[in-house]
Amino acid sequence: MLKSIIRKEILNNLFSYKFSIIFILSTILILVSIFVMYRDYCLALDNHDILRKESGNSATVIPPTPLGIFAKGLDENLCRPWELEAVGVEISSEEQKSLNNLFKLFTAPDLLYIIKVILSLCAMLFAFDMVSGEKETGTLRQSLSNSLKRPILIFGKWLGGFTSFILPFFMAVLLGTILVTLSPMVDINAQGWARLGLFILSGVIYLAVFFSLGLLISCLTHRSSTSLVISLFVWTILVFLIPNLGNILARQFVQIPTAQQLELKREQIRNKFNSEYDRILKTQPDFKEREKALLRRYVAEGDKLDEDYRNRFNSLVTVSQNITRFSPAAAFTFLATDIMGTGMAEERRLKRAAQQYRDILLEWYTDENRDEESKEPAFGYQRSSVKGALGQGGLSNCLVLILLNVLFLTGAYVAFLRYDVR
Amino acid sequence: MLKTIIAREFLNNILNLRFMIGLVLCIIVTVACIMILAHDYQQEMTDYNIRVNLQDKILDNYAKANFFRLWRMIRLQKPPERFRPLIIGIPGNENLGFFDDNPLPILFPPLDFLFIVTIIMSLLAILFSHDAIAGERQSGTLRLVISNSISRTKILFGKFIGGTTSLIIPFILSLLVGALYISINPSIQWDGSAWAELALLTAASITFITLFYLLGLMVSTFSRYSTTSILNCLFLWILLVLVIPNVCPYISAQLYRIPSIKETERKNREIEIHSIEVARELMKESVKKFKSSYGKLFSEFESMEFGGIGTRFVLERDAGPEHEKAAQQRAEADPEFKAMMDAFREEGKKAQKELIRVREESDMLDKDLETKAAAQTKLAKNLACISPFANFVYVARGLTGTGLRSLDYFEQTKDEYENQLRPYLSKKIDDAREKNPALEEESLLDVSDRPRFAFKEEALKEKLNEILPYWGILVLFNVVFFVAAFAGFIIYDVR
Amino acid sequence: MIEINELTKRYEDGVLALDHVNYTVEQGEIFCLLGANGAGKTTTINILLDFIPPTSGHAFINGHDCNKFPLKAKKYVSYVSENVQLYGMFTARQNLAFFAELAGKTGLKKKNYDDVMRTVGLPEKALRMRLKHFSKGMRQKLGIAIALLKDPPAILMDEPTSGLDPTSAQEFLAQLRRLKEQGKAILMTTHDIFRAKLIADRVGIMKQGRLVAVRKKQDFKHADLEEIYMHEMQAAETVS
Repeated sequence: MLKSIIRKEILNNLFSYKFSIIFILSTILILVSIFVMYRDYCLALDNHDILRKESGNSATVIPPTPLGIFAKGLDENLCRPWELEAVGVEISSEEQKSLNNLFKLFTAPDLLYIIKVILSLCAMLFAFDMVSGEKETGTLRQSLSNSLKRPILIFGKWLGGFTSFILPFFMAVLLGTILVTLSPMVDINAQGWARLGLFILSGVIYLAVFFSLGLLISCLTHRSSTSLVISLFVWTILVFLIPNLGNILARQFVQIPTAQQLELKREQIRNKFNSEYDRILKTQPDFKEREKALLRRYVAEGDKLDEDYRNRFNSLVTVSQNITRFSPAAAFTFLATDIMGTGMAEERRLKRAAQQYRDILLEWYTDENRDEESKEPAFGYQRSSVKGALGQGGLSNCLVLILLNVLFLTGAYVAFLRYDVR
Repeated sequence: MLKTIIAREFLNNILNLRFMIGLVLCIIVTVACIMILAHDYQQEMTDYNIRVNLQDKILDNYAKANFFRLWRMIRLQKPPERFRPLIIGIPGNENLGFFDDNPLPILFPPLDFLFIVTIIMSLLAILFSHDAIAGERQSGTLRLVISNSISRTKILFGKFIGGTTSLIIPFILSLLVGALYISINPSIQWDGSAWAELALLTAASITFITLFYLLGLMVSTFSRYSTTSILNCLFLWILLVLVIPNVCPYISAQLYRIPSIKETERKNREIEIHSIEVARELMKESVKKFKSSYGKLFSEFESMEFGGIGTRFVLERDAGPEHEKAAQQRAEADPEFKAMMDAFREEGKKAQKELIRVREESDMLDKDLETKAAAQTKLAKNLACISPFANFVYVARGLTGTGLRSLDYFEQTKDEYENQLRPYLSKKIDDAREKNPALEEESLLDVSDRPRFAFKEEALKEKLNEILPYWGILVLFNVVFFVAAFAGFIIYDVR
Repeated sequence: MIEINELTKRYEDGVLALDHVNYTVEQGEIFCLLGANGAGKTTTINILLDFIPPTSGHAFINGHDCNKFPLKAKKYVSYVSENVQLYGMFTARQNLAFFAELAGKTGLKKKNYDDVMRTVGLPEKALRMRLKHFSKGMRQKLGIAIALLKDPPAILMDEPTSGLDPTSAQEFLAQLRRLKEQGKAILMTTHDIFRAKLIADRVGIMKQGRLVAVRKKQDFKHADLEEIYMHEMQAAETVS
């Protein structure tokens, strides 16, 4: 019985108008997205090469990740070149910038965006009339007039429906990935492939959430036009309202100075340092010791400022994540960017690494026993492993998605058991 | 007859679940959004005031009599845009950026009035209109209406007016509530021009919303069933709102290739090296010439590292202040030595001119890159005009000073201020030096009477000139969709 | 085969759709339920198919309580709805195959489909046509074909002749007679007094949830069924 239902559901969808449109749309979008982001990646890689050549060993800039083609996240931020100051870290400017200013006005159309926004809508459009629509046409009655258990019917519908929805997605992503990885500029290692696989898996779980939600709405309504309106309403809230509003809301709970203000405060410290430094007479015998002591004192003051700011910032991110976590879109964004190494976890890690590097340099510089010939220690950084990224709360995002799936599916099941099919 | 159709369409929508949902969503989100953003604006203003004070403090306490160090201390602060309670602007200095900035807005573009209009209202418009024709055909009421003596034109027109009216009402209501909140909020000071801009923004929003209503109406006249109609409408919506605007900057980057930064950097480096070589050759020639002319005198001069003239990277010598002093003293003592030194200085100036001339080539390259980049941005902007979403974004951001143009305008006012400040600072340093010739570069300078930076909003007239073409495109879309809907309805099979 | 025992249904809004109704339909019998809209005819069928539960009383199909053991009961019944829609994008064959599978009939061959199409009077080439191109009459016939493929001992039909042209309706009645000869118990709700007279073995007249009269064939074979119907309705009015 279940097999018949699944087969019928798949076939029915394959012949339907909405399947053709969604198939065409998602294929075009996914391929265009991968291609467009691939070119963007090539540009970023080019820029990175210049910077590396310019600064050589002491380059403090990390290369863009090819996985950014699929989930750009914060990669542009992560790959900015920066310079260490005794107090604070500054972004060194001009060389790396998007010359086309329009990038600032619109969102990057990476695969993450396509899945998060567009395909989630498509999933709901696929599922919204699975039950209410069949009620309207009378085929639901016809099916249930046989000795067919309702749970089997609803599960068969879910399985058949979701399979027919996810197939075009898979094919398009596979095609796009193959085309892109054929390029010599894209070098994905084994870990990278594992990440990509996990990313696609999380995308499937995310889309299943919306599919189940669409089915639930269908089981709670009796006309497909009503299901449609409610589905669109819910989609807007979950994908746009909660994540975006949540972040602004978080800023109301956690007071944090802007980065510009922080920079000015550092400037103040730097100027204080310079004044005192100027006053130390170079002719004094203990000049070098005094200089080092002064440097240490001001670095400590700058560190205190930084630590205060960083604590506030971390709590802002935590509050933000907690508020927005109820939205599958937010949970998916955090999860996917963490998996691909372009998320908040990576960003935090890089900042910490910059801090540590600054400390190492300071040590090296103030070390009396330093060998005069020794070179400045270079900055080395590897993006965190998937385990590391997921360990920092990434798994809880995955759990949220799975839980939502279970919740909506259970809701659909319960609703369908008492659904009036007349 | 027309009034009857309008009234019926209006009532039909109002009594519908869609209207309730739309109304509720609109009002709640708009009001919540404005309240939160207004609070946000207050925080930004506070932060801005702190920054201005900090900047003043830095200059008051640490201004030194060294132009370059002083210049480095100047960091002009941009106040939050006055329309921030409604529309969040683009983060300013993205080129420079800050290592410690908050990256969350990159992952989640913030919710503001623009979002409400472009996403929520456009979706609502489609929901209201997608079954205006197809749905009535299915229920059989279309046949009934047309069986009376009323022209199809009147019917379509009536549907349009009745439908858009029922759509615009929740929108205007929620905007009024928001405007009220802004006007009673003491920390938001809006003058006449700001309210005028809001009125214009409302008008532009209405143009945008009716555009999508007409899109739905048009698709409905080409569909037999409302399910087909809504699917087609949604896919068009996805393309026009979610896809085209986001993809255009990237496509234009492919279509209009600009020399890669790598290429330009490489060329610049070549030019720099070449210019140094040219200057070096010239100086070497001069050295040879002077050696043969002045002989021993010149050798003595050479031992003083040429008094620091044209040394460093051209003649690759390390000349310190002691060499300068020594040469100066020698010149004062020996007029022949002085003449030779002056002549050599002239040669140095010639070489420098040559350096500057060759370097101008590199400046040309940079300018060329800038021009090409601007052209690429323009292409992207024009490509995106296919999407009404992009056009509306340009209009809204242009009107309210929250777009790219306002960033350029800020740079412009910054330059104007810097042109005022530069001579003031130089004069200050010169005056101080005059008073005290022994003034050291580390000495503090009092710049408390410096000209202050006051950011003014761009005039509305200028803004209008910029955005009117895009508004015109929105109006054009409206016309095209209405004409297409009309054409579709005239031949529509009502059975 | 079909037994209705003190069946009562009161909806949430207070409407009494069935009021202690009693009757049976034996094998090889066609029982027509007549009545105005809202009389309770469709409610009866909905209870038999376990779409809604009864307030009190029982409905049985082949001895199985439809509310307590719906899956068992539904094994023995087929359903032909008033407006047969089915899956528009599927061909007739695909629709037949799907519902046959639901009915537990696997391994059906082309011959089975051809036979059933012939039986209901549809051309074989219609097997390959998509449902959305079928006329109402054709769809009705296909609805019966689905019921035939299941080959159950009982068939429920809800207003099967509504909207059919005279020829199609005639063919439909002939089909019903064949089913009756095969020994099927057929419960049919209808407004169509004319055709009820032609086909029914017994007629039940319902008014406002009550079964006000049951007449055998010999009672109305030579009489005006419409007159009997109107008389019974008026009598019921007087009593209440």
